[in-house]
Amino acid sequence: MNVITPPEGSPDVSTSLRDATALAALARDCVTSGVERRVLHVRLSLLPARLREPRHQRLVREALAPLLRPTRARLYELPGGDLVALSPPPGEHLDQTRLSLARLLPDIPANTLLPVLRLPAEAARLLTLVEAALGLDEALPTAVPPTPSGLPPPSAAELDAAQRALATANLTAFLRRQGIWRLAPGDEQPTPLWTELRPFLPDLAAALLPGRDLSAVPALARRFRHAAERRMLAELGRPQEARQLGNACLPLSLASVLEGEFLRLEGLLGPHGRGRLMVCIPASDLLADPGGFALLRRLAPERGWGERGWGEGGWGLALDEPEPGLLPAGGLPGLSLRLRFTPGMLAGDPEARTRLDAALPEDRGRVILLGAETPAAIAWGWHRGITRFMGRVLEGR
Amino acid sequence: MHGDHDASPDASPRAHSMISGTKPDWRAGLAAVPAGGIAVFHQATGPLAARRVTRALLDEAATQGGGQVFTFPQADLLLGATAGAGQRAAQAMERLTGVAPESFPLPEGRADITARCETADRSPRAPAWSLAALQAHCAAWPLREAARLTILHTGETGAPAAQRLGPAPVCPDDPELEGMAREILCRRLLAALTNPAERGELPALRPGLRLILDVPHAGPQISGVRAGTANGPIALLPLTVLGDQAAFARMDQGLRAGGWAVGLLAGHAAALEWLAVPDVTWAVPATPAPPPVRPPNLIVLGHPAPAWCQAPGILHEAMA
Repeated sequence: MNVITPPEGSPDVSTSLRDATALAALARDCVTSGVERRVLHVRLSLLPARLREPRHQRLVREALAPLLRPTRARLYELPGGDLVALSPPPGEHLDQTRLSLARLLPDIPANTLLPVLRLPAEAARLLTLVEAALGLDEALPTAVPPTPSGLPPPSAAELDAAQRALATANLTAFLRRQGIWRLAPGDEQPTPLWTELRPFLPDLAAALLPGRDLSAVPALARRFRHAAERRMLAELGRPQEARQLGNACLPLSLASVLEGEFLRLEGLLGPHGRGRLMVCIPASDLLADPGGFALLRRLAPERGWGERGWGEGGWGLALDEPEPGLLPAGGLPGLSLRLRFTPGMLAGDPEARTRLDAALPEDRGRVILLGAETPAAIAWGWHRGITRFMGRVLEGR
Repeated sequence: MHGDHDASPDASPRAHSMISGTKPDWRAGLAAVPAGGIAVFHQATGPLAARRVTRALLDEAATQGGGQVFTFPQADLLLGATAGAGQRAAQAMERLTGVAPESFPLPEGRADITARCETADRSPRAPAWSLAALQAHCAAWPLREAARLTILHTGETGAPAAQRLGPAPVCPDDPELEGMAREILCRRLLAALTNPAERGELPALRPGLRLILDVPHAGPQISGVRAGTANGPIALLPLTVLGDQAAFARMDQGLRAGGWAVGLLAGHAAALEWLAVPDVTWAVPATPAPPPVRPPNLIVLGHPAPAWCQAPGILHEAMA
């Protein structure tokens, strides 16, 4: 293993997200103030790929120029590539521009490609299209619930053997690193905060338990995870590795945190290294071993985990993905929370939404949104004051 | 279990050399401690996880202050060259576990620490289980020994009020393995209850006492003995059933419809502070002080029951 470096990349998502939220705010303002505007929606996302190259983009922008210059209309860029221009009524410039765009892009009827909306009357429609734009990138694969593989679970003897193999295995090829970023509204660039480090269990299970399905028996899956994590921690616990750990986020099962391998690494890190460490425990583990979890809640502050994390302190221990409704409102004092975004959260029924919001710690700086694969996840987070994210949308596409 | 190194709660290189090579003699170590040194003796009776944590603190003190850590089957000993590091470790151990280890200044405490170590040398070592061995043991253990009947008394009068039929502990110091063992034994217990041929293997239930039955993760899957009564039997589920709230809600509904009351068995009373589940009976191991959050219906496990259990709404095992 080597130095953990924050992932490189300069996501362009921030601009389009800012535009989308600004546009939504403007639509609401028009409703409140009654100010009239006409809106030209240029649905470039409908165009086939051959018409979406940079030179086409240039032509579109040139066609829009006569509208923008005299009226000082503002152009908004939405996630997914659509453009939205606003102009005050009566909007002759807007009509002219629309005509020239229609001539430029004759493949799709103008009513479909270039709809015009009126504010405040059609504010709801505008808001809907902004929301749709925020979800446009969901063409990216989203989490699919695991389907039963039809394979049998491993026997106890097979799992014992896999654990023995793990005790001496080299896990380098099975480790995954992913950045955790801060991205607040108005930030030009996301700031890297931690690097998450974990063994990638599906590949590891496929290598060590071929033809077997661990997911059917949670107790066996937990035991396999425990063994894999112990091995990873043993490797990280070599003095030269420990020195290079940096701002590491280690998602570990509760049992692994209370193992000799982790405790040795933790000791080697010293007060400074521990101050940069975040440990994340699956919420379900506090049910299986409440005594161990109570001990861990005392251990983290006793040893100063996460105390030097970005001048905010107390970041050291987080709970991963608690079932909504499991924990008291506001979460458990002193604990951070890692929550997984799913597209269903956008549509979620009001009751589920209320329950989820109630479970968030009041200090939203303690929340990290996992699974930020689309701009919609960032928008959902921002709406709730969440500014820490992990996911592909931030990793530079 | 996982490998050879797991036989000991600690897998540090120091511990390895002790297990594989010649065992370092604590007597020689004690003789070598200079004046002004310290002995910190930790009797480790609880979960292995807590022992690993306290052991790590002792190891750190040995590194920082000079010294050595010795392992006994159920205890750890730090012989430190300087008192400061050992004292700091002892204080941290007390903050974490609530129990202070014994500290002796050296050479004054030499006789005391020698007596502790001689006793500790003779204590038995807890068995280390592989998963396969655990499963085989739980499948073959005669129910006569594997099933336990415990009489529970009311907090108000101390009179017997309920009986708990559940599995005997297999590896109480490892919650994960104990959870697996409990699952297997609970399934066997349920099967025996409904099978006249096996029923005789189980301890005889006391008539007139409310039944509290340990059931596996999937629930009892039989109807309650006295359906529809307010004082029906309690199905004691492992706390992990709360991991899937929707599934738990369905099971809860099904159990109540079948005449059961719902109980949750937690490995530690701390769970009462975190989890609010309406209308269930909680069962938790006894703690020296009453838990800060006390649910209306509470079963305190462990013998003898602490004095705070003499309160309404608490069922407990016999007092000392």
